[in-house]
Amino acid sequence: MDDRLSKEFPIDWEEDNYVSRREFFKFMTLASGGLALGSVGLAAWSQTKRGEVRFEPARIAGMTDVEVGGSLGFSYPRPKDICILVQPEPGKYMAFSRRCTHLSCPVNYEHDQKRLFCPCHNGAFSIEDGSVLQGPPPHSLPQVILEVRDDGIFAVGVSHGADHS
Amino acid sequence: MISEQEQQRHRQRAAVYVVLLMFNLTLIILQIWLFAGTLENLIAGKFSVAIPAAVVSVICAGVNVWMLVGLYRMEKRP
Ligand code: FES
Repeated sequence: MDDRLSKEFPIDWEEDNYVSRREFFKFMTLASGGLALGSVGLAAWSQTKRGEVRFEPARIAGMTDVEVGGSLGFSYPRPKDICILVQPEPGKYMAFSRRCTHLSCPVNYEHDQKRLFCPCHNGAFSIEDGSVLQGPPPHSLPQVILEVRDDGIFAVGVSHGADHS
Repeated sequence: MISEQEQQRHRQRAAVYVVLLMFNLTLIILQIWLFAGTLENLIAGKFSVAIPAAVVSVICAGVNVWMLVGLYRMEKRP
């Protein structure tokens, strides 16, 4: 009986399992390739995010709009990217993203302490380069690249801090 | 009907498949871990891990492809 059955339906179960294992292996290798591609994509994206990125120049203030020790809020490059322009010394202008790198509270300029202070969790950033001085922020504030022209102060790009390594 | 010898060969190949499949799965788990870690670091603003992680992930995928090619070759062998 068994012999006749095997002759009429010659299914080799070993072979059958073997094929499905091969299919599974093929599928997993494909998934592995997809993951590798995803990782390469992330690496490529990370390269575009570091260093300086230039945007369309935008006039953010006139020469007399910010006094020494004062600050001025503006948006750059998109309307939702809030930033802060300060003049720590006469003729020296600095601008940073105003969004704290911890939980995005807006930072305030404290001239006497030479820092940008975040009141939410007492985070503080250096006014020299936006680096973290204290508190929970994980990395420095992005710095807005400025150009002082005859007709005012222009934002021309954004630079991610030194710790964006 | 399959001969005893042929059955033995199938069993051996099946065992090789299982071992390689285990290794394949281990590499994929490693790749998932690398991918998730890279994503987490990128969100935290740390960009330095992305390239090494991508290199390791590509190597893992290469090993998997190499194993698959090896299996096809093994199947073709009489
Ligand atoms: S949000 Fe700025 S320190 Fe937490």
